[in-house]
Amino acid sequence: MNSAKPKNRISRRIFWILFFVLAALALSLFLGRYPRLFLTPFSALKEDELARNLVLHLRFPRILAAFLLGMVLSAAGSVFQMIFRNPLVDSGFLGVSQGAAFGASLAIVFLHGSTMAVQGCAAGFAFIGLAASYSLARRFPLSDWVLRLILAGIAVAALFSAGTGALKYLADPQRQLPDITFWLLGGLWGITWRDIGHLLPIVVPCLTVIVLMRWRLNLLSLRDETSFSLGVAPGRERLVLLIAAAAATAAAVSKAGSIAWVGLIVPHIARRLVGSDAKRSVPVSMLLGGLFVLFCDDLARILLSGEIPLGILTSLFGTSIFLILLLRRGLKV
Amino acid sequence: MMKERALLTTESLRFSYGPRKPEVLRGISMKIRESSITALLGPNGSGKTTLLNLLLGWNSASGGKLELAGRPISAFSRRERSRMIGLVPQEEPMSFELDVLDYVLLGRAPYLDLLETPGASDRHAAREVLDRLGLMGVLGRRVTALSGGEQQLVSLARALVQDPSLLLLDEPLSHLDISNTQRILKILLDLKSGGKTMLFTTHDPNAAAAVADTVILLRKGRLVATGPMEKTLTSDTLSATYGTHVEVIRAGGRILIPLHMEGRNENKSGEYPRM
Repeated sequence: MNSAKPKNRISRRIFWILFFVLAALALSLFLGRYPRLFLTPFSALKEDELARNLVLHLRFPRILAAFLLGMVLSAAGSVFQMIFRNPLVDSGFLGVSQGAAFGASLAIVFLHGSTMAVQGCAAGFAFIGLAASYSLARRFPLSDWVLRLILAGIAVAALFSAGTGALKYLADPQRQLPDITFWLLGGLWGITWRDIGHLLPIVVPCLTVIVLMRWRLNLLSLRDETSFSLGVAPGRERLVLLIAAAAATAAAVSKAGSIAWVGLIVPHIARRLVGSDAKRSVPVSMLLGGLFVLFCDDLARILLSGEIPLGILTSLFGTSIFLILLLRRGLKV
Repeated sequence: MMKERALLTTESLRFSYGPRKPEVLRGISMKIRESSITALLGPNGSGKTTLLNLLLGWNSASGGKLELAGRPISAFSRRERSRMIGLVPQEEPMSFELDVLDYVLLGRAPYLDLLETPGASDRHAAREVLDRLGLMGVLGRRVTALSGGEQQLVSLARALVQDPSLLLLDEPLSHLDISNTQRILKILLDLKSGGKTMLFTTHDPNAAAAVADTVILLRKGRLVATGPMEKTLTSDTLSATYGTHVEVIRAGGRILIPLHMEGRNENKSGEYPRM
């Protein structure tokens, strides 16, 4: 059969992606600036208690958090792109990311910026962003549901961005403004096993829903009448997937701050490597997203003695890949 | 001989987009027999696609009766209905480049559970339909890379893998050249002999005359005429439907509807000039 050869090629690619993921996870444990720059020797784990504690209680949860964050953002990006039949959207649409940014800034300015307040407000407002976009879209007198959602999302995102701008203006320039700026740039410093414990109960069920329903995304990317004729309940199934994607994103960004470009660019790379069928492209996108954020976070903690905000690195590499794909016509828009 | 059992019947069907909106379809009563081809004709904006969406169950009628196999369409579950009625839309904008096989496999959705993905038997069914439509050569190609005619065939294959009793086709011949038009019409005739029932909308009365058993003529959301093709496709009914003079030529058991151009191609004997 003439499709047998590409299928073999795709299987080989998936094998290599899995190999790189496992290798990167293992290698990242030994990458850092203590006890010496770059590679931590294996012997140090036996002899140096501080090094062992650092690897087990700081580096390990941080690596997991980076990988989870990448998986969440890429899975959400895939879901948003396919549901909105638009390869250029991600969780920034529907006001999810902007809602989170506004919530975090609000907590920093008015709630003394405690970790719990910042994370709680970020997650809460991410959901308010989604709910506001959804209910606004229902009231627009336009027939195309996707267009309505995108327009509502743009308006809600712009409102939250204006709100974040106002909060930055009100913030104490000495104490609060740097905190807001740092949160908006995103990063995973200070992640502990407790944070992972907070993340997993939300992220795992949401990602499970997305992975189990991934083939339905193909159906939802068709016109509503067509998917309806195939027995799909387009409105209901879309809502389930949107809530799963938004909840996972809200949980992840509440810990990590704004991390741009991952959800937009990684699903494109996945589709290029294994084809557009969501049955393959969604899990591969999640693995590649985890790999991408892990790579950026490794650089963020190693390159300089001070931390480089993760969002700067994901944007830097994300835009570079975006431009390369555009120039090589690998990006179909 | 055609079977007389009606697969789908409507009685005084009405539809409007809201309680205070004007009715876009009114008084639609018709019958679609099993194993037959019905052509739905009417000018732009006459409500053809709206009627198709009503029959599909996508829109709900604001009044009247709509029965599928003797049961109200609202009594069917989503899954039951999707196994009985398939849709080939006029255009399927593809935002993502699915391979032909992956795209055609979407037609198996009515037979899969919510969390299930297509398996070997679904792939077998898809290959069988692709083979029947002569599409095995494009199996691994991207749908977006195909020609207009091939894309229309692939869309038809996706609906056939669904194995519905009734196939609704929204302008399946638009943008097609003569060769592809004939290819699609031939496939419709083959499907009819295989027991399928089809309803297609078209702007081409000649296509209706070529394959349809029954014709439905719509104008401004109202039924102008419906009935057997030979009796219904007349100069009077077509002229009333399109609001312009339409000539119908009957020759050797065939019905031809030429474009009527004032002062051109007219000949006194009234016979259609033979090339």
